[in-house]
Amino acid sequence: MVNDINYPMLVSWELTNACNLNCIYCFNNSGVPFADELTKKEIYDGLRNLYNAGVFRIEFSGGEPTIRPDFVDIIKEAHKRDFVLSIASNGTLIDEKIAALLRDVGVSYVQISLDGLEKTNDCQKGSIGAFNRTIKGIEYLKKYDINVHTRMTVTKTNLSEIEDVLKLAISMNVNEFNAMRAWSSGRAMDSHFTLGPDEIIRLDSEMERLHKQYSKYITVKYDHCGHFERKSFQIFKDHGERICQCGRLTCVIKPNGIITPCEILTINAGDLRKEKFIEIWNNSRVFEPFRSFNTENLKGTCAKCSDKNVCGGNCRSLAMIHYGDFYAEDPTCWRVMRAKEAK
Amino acid sequence: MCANATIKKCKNIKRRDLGSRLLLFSPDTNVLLEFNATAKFIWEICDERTLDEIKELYAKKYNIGKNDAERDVEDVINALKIKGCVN
Repeated sequence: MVNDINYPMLVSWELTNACNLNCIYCFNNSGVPFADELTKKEIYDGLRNLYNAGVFRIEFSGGEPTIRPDFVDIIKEAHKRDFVLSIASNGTLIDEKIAALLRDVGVSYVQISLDGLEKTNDCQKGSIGAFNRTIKGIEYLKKYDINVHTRMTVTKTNLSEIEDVLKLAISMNVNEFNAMRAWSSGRAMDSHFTLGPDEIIRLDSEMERLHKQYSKYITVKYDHCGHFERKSFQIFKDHGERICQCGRLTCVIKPNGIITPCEILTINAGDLRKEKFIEIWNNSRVFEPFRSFNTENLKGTCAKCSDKNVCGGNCRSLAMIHYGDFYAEDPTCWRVMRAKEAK
Repeated sequence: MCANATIKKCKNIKRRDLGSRLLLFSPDTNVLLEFNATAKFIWEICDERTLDEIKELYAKKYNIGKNDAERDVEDVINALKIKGCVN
């Protein structure tokens, strides 16, 4: 009579590909808006579409979502439709007006990208002054008592600054600190700054230590997308983390209305301009491999790994991007990297 | 479960009415529930009512006996309590 169900628990909606920063690792290659991005009216129609499909939670992202001149209108419309809202932003354009609006609509959290102290952050963001503007944005959000999560994308450049950023977040009363590795996709595809196996292991132990040391002051999370090491995985898993939910509990709406299972994957599951969201979610064959995933079909180093049933093959989208094969080994796992080095 | 205790819906529960189905979502606990038509009816009437009152209304609505109504209502209210949707 009353059932738990699998459902699109979170729809991540990239409002635009436009961005005022130029992050070296951007998996979307954001900067210039798409020529065919959804208009405000089309976004309103899409919100109605999601509402009728029973979706509750939307995260607006980009690009930089706040760069849209109609951002405020879109947030108000989404609030009117009773969605649970969150925002992923670089924070540099958040002013008092936006912070007040986000408080008024009861946004559940705002995730702000913060990659280091001033010099390192601005280097990774490709924009001098970005750090100070981001800090100002966080201050506005905290002034209005908004739940702020900082997200640090870890590369070779900022690996040694994690604790400094964590301490900075604590000093600003940030609610959650989240670290994750730069994905090897978009601008970070085959780049020199993504972590190698030794650095991944170092990051692992560093996050374990920080979790232990600072969890009484701030929620410390470590996003395992594109990463796996058993001990730390178990620690974070015990704190409610889960590996990939793409296509099973989450999906992405790109700025032009194309729906994909994962933000780094550009495979077209359907077009929000032409089809009902629920029909795409229920019927698109693009979601099928994510829903019927079986670790026994994994290939390469992942196939032989004793922990494949713990990590679930890690990131299938990266396997698709790098090898065009949903069941290929995850090229960003340190064990796969080590195996390649040994050859 | 005490028959005379008043059931209260928790605040901040979001709902989506999809005709014969009802979805409820608690942003605080991230719990999502799907109700069929009969469970949906119980949810609609339960706030600020006792179990006995709910059972009576439910039995009348679906023209069923006391025992069946008791079982159905207690199942739904128990599940709602476990999921943190009612107190």
